[in-house]
Amino acid sequence: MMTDVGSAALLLALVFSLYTAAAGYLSARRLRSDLLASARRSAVATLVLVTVAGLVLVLLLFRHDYQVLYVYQHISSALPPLYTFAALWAGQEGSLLVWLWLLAVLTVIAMRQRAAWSRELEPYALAVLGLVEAFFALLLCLVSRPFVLLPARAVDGMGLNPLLENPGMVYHPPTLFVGYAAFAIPFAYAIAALATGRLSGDWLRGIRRWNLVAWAFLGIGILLGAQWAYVELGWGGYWGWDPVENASLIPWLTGTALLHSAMIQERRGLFKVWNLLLIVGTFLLCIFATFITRSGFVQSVHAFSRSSIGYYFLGFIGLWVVASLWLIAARRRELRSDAMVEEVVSREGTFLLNNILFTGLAVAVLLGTLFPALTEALSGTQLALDRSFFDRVSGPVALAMLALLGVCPLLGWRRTGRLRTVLPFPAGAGLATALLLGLVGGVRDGLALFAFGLIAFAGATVIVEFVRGVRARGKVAGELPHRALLNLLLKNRRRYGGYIVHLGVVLIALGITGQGLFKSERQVTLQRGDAVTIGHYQVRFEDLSSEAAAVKERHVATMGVYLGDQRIASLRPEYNFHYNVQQYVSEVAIRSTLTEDLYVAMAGISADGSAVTFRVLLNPLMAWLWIGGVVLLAGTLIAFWPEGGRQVRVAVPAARRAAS
Amino acid sequence: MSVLIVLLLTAGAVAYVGYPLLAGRGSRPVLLTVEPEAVVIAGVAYASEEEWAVDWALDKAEDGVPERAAGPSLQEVDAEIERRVAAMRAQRRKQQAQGQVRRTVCPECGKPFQTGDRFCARCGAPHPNVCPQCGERHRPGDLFCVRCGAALPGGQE
Repeated sequence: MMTDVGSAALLLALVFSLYTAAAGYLSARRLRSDLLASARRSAVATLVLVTVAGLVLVLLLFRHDYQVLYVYQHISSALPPLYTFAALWAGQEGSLLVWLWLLAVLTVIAMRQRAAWSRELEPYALAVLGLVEAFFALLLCLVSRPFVLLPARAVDGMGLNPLLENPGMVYHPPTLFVGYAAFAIPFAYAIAALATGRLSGDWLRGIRRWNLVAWAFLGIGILLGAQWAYVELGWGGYWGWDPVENASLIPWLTGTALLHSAMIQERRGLFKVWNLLLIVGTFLLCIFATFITRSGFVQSVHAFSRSSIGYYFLGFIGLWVVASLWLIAARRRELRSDAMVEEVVSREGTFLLNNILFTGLAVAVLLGTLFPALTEALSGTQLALDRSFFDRVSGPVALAMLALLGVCPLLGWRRTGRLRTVLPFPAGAGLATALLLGLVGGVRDGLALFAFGLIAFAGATVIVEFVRGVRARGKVAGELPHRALLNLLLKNRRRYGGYIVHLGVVLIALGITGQGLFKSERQVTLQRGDAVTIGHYQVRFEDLSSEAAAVKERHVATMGVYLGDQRIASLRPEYNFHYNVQQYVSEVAIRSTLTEDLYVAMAGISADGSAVTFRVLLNPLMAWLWIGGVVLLAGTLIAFWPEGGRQVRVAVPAARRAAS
Repeated sequence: MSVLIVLLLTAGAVAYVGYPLLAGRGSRPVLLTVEPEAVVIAGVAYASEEEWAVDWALDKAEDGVPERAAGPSLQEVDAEIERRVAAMRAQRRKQQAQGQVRRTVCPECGKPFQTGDRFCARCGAPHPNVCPQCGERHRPGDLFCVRCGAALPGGQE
């Protein structure tokens, strides 16, 4: 009965999202403000209907109605309530529903911003968003129906995959989905700008904060996923170049390129076609990421399903690629640049380089991800690339990005500026760091010295920029340093917020370098009382307790961590046999400090339970990866904070003006 | 029961979405947020002149004068001009109706001056508030013309 309500709500959502698209388009074509008002209301109605469908599914999950296939497949009676709720996005149907719901929410939010720049574009943007919503609603009505019933009620469900039973499951997927869905708004406005031919900088300026929100959610989502992998999967790393991880990284890379090159269009009127391609590309890559996750197109640890849904996704992406390229070609005259890049070593020149690096890396990762599918299509056998391919491609590019991050902020618009007088400090900081680490710190690895030098260089640039900014404000506005620092952040939030984001990226690079180049790993089988030495730690296997719980057989090891003779901590890794999947799942124990993470996971227990195999890792500087993420988020918030516009009363209906 | 819920949902949504179509085309004024205006200096857009000044002090920006402020749209400017013109006309009509508009009269013979006159048309006496050399208006009591520097007749007082 309730499933009928859910299915009907989805069907109605499909109808209303199609109506949103049609009414939005016609309102602009026929100059009818009443149609536009109706289209706006239709977007709200779509949201309400999708919410009803979502609530029905949540209710079914909490009622443990095992006659519903989705409920049966993803939860069991023993599952804690939090994960019962999170099961909403554990499967394909549920996560598509969440995707659609987020899209509907963001559409309504975007339509509520009565901004001058969006008035002419809104009807078309609404039409595009309606079409995207309709696509997801169609999937939910046809191929990926969440409310399918079993012939009879099952006694208990199959339960959630134990790997998904982690707090990460609660916040990682929704965060990513918000990022994916939020890129639909810039996409819709880009198509609207192309359709109306109002391609001046206004819309790009207006859409900036949406880009930022989408980019931030995507980035934070990726980091949360990395942390989840780190604490749950038990292999000691956080990033495996798995196809699904790559799929979320690719739009983030193009999105980063977009954030930078959009600035150039705003300031100088350059890169117009490029920006449109980036916006369209980034959103379609987000759809593609959903597709990769949900289709089983490429084998992956995340591949939870394999279905015909892929064809729908490919068709949808293909249609938009054709449509947007056609629109761009038709508008090529309006899209000519207002100016030229005059000097290579200028803001514009280095931004161009930055764009090449980011999109180049995105393309490389995309090709690497699709490589198995491509080889299968060409030769009939799947050839997968291992992670060394990705490491070898991304390493040098990442280092080049760090170098740019150190140079670019120092440069002026159109010209090099006073680089010669400014560069020595960050460059000196970089060199000094490398020398100090090499001579005093005993680091012998040339690559590591180079990487740490670059990190110090890029970090010093951010500091130099803040110091120079404070001085400049002192000179121009006569402000005292503390006031000037505050005003830097308040009056030029975009730039100085951006610098804080850079600082976050530098810290993340520190974590990645430390863990990547200096991790030490030992896999040992220990008897009770035995110890293993790693770095300056001694880890002693003290006890193992086992118990049989309702859903799993728990084995908890107690490990004493010693520094010299002193016991400084105890770690309790777990190794649990989950009945529903008939598999052992490891729960990791980590002792994290600012300098290093001590990471202990159980990898096996001997038949009599006397000996246990442990994987013990020392991951230097790992914590900085997460700290960097927090800094990145803070910087984004500063850059995002609205600068306050003024309000103007306009009497003419929007649709009427849309045609003028 | 479920049929009833679905019917209610459908009816509610259709009524809500269809309402503007039935209610007709209103043209209620809407409040729009206008983004802060950009200032273009030496071919680069800045959020404000202050931002440019800071960049200039950082040697990141070139010298230049603000080329154009991408200010309010033409429609907004039009509306504002129309409004001000209408207000001025109304003011003028009101004053005329109350007989408040008084033309300056010749101090010698009493004939009213016309706009743009420098000398009295009847007796040839100079206009008391206008420079006899260049025709620039000035305030009573000024000693010299602000435009051409000529000594003013009214200034001797």
